[in-house]
Amino acid sequence: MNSTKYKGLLKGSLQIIILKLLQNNDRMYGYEITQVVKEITNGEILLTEGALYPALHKLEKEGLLTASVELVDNRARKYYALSEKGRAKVKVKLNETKSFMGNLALLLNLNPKMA
Amino acid sequence: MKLSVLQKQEIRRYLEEVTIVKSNCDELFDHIITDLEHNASSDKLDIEEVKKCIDVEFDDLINTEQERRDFRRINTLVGFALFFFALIVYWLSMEPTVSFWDCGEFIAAAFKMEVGHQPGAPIFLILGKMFSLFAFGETSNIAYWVNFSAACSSAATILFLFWTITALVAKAYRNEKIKSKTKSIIIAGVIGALAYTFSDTFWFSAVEAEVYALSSLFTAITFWAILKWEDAINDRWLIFIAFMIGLSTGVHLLSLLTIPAITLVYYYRKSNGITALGTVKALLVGCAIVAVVQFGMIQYFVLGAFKLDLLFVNVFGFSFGLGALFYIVLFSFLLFFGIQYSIRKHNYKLNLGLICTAFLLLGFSSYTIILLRANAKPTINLSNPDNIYSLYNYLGRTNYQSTPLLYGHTFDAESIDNEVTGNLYRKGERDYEIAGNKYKTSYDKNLLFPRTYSQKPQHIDFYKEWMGLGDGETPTFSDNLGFFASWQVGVMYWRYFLWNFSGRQNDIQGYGDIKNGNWITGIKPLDAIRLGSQTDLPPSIIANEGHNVFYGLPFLLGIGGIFWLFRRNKQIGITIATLFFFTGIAIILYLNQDPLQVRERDYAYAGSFYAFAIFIGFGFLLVKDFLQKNSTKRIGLVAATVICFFGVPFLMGTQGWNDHDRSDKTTALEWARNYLNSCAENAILFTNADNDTYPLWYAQEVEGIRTDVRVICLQFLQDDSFIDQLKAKVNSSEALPISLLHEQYQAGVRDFFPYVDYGITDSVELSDLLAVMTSENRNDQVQMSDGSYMNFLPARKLKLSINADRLIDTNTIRPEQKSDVVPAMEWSFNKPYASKADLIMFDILANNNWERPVYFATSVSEDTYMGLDEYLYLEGYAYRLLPLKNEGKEIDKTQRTNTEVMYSNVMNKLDFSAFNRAKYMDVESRRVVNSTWHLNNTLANNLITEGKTKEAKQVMGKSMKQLPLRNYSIVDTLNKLNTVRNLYALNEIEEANMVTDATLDFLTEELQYIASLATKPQLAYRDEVQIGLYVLTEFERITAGYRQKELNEKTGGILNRLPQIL
Repeated sequence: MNSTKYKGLLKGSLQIIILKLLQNNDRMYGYEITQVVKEITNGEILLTEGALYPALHKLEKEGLLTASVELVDNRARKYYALSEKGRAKVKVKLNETKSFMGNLALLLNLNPKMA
Repeated sequence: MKLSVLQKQEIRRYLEEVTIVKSNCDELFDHIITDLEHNASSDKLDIEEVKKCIDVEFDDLINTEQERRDFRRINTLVGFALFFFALIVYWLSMEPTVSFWDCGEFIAAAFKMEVGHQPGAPIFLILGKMFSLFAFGETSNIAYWVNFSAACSSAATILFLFWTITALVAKAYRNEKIKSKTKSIIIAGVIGALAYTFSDTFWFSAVEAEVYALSSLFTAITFWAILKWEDAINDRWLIFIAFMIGLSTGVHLLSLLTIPAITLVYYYRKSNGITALGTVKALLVGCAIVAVVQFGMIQYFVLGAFKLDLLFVNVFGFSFGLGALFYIVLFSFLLFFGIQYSIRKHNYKLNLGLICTAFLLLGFSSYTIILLRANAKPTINLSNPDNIYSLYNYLGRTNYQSTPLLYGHTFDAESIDNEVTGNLYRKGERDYEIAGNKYKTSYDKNLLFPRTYSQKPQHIDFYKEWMGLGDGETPTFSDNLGFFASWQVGVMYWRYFLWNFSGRQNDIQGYGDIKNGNWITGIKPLDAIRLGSQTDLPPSIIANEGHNVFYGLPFLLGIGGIFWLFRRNKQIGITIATLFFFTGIAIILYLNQDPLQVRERDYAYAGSFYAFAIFIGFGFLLVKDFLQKNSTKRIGLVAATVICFFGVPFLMGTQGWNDHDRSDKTTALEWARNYLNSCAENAILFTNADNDTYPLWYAQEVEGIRTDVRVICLQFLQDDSFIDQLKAKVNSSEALPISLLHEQYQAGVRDFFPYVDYGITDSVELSDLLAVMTSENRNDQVQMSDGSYMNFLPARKLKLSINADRLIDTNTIRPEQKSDVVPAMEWSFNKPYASKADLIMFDILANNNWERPVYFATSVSEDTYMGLDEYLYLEGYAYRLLPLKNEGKEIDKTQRTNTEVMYSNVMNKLDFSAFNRAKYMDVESRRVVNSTWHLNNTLANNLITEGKTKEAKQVMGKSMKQLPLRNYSIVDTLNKLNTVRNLYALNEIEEANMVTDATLDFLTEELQYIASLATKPQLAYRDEVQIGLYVLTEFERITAGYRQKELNEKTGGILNRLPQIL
């Protein structure tokens, strides 16, 4: 599988993927996120670092994420976690995404079960 | 696998190099190391492979080596393309020979490594000398090549401006990928750099041999260098800057004014927490550094050397210069050991500071050239700075009057006390001698921040009119501030600024009225508010080459740039604003100029226009952002580029071309040649600096034209070393007949002579007067209030007895003129006191014994004729002193010709063809044309009176062929009256009618425009209306007299229509 497979499609959904993962995990660092995504999708979806980090920084700047730095193995590791604002936002975003995907399935005449 | 420390370090280093936002470094490093530790299978790690991986995976977060290299390459290439473009522009519009004002002096001084006016420009001289070598001995090409040095310096300034703008824009975009911003950065640089290329003031000094082009280059390099330092924090750049500043003192002190902006860049880069207070502190430090360099190094450092020399010479009895040399050696040792100490103690800051000081002084050491060359006693050796004391005065510009800055007198103040503050010295035979005192005058009326201090009569009148003060009224503090704001800053700064970026009314010097030299927008309703109606503008404005209309677009784009910067990156904005302020308004604050300057002074503020051009570059980004928001990225970028390019540099270039194109202009050279050729062989010519001196020096010193003529500039005749020069042979001019010995006129001796009325009614013979004025006998002197004795002027009615045969022997007159010779020239000397310069002139007159013909320039101020007016006869551009009777006729000297000689000169020796060859006639050339018309009309008129019609026809024929007839302003039409009168009198009806008709049309348009104005603006044109109506009435009379019915009716018609509306 090559990671460019979903490039265009991924772009819009990167935010919600990050938010959702952080809803399930207290805190994560960048590399960890790429690994989890890879694992869940059986390697079908590979996040490029070049896209992940700008998305993380944007969410942090918007105040949806909080970051903390810890020394691990003698190097600084930056962990991300949902903020209060982020926690509220995930729910809204998930609902939005769900209804959007339903409509997308209808529009593209896909099997509704797939959604 | 586990990575080694070294491997980690290398990855870390690479990341730090490429990451756009430095704070992301840690995170990316962590990601890569974690990834490698988890996944890398092979034991051997290929670092190059990792780097490639980083380049691909983190594309959005980094600028790869390749991307940065690409940017650097295009930045370099476009920079050089701009350099060559600007060089071609300046080369095409460059003056091919000497220009007016100081250029003649600079070219001569560069060519022969001579000593020009204070404070000198040794680095400019060296560069000019190097370029002059390209003439390969062809002296008529020397000026061309020295001018070309200015074109090169200016083009290089454009190159550094471009790099400065791109560096600053890249800095503003530092959190974004360079690849995505390359186009914007480069285009911003191009727009800003091209706008400056075509800006009025900078273009003016780019095409002539003045120091301002090279001075701009130093400003540009210094500011660019601090950005290089900022980019990599390599302190070697600071040393480079110190060296550049040191060198720039050998060009012009203007470059020092970049220092505050430089300290600001330093502060912003080095400080951890940037505050407003910190910014102010950094600025104050910058000002302090300027003061240390300007006063500490350039003046007190040299003063220190003099003080030690004074001790060595006067107390220890060593020879001159040993003390100064010891001082320099001592200082060098101190610096050397200081630097060694700093290395030993690992004191980095001390080390850097001392090395910078050493390089600063190294640059400043260019002034030793001045000292060396003054000792070689070249022909031009102004103030003779051949020892450390005179060098100190030369550097301190002590020849110029000092102006009060913080606290000082008003224009109507009376001096109440003269306090002695120190000694003046001169270099004697064996030691330094005291030549007098330095004084500090105190006054009865003073103000804080005095801006209206000049006590010259014409300035006082101007102050009163500008501030609306009646007689006897003293300016209040607010009047004074008002003058500062409206005149010094308004007229003498913002007007110039807006010429460059908004538009210019015409090239005629403005004095704050609505008629000439104003800034305009070209948007008529807007200009009409300040300047009166702008509809149907007359030829004096619309046809003037200096009428340039930019619709304020460059200004608006610059303001746009400021707006963009203050939203996006305040620090860059403040830095450029600092540069703008210190190279512009700060100079206004410091110069505290008196009003009515002899020429426009915009050249001094070119540095601030440079700073504004940087803002213009940023303005492009605002336009681009706006258009991109309202269309696609691509279309927005292209549209913004097209709009900015055509709206700003293209418009400026096309509007400005015709008034900067000097490619065919040789008027200054021809003027100099004609001036010298107006004089008989071995003449002595008294001139009065600037345009009647410097071009002449150039002609003699560089091209070897008429070196038999001795040009004596009266402004320098007060200086003993200048008098020494007159007593020696120069080029092919023998020593002048000066009987006084050096001791009799050395500094501090006979500087001035008070007039003491001895009740002498008869005229005093000049030789007797000289004997009294140079007498050492106390009976011939007056005692001053401090007990000292000094010579004085005992009489004002003077005479010089004439031996008519001597005049014939010396070819001063023709034998048939013998009956016209007066037995003695008698005149009255009406100045309140006599100066040393007057004494020398008396000496020359008394001892010349008509050996050499004596001339006075026509353009000097009236008091330099010393009352000899009735013995002055025009022989061309100069008056000849001739002891001839005037047959009781009261003729002004401007109408009096030595007709036969002048006729021969005008027909055989003078060539006016340069005027018609010049594509653009600048203000000075036009002044010369007007005076030439005046001279030739006078000559023709006198020839007609003397019955020499044929000769008169020839003079008018040559004038009509070689002298332009175009009217630039209403005043120019006055000359046409005499032209027309002569032409009709000589029966040249067709030509007379042609001139009359053209002038009528010109006047009609001008007067109709004035008539269309509202009452208030119309009042400003009072003089013009009077002159115009006078010329029209005269035309009516003349055409009636010569029965030119058609023209007479036309004139009558115009006159009938005009008075009703005026």
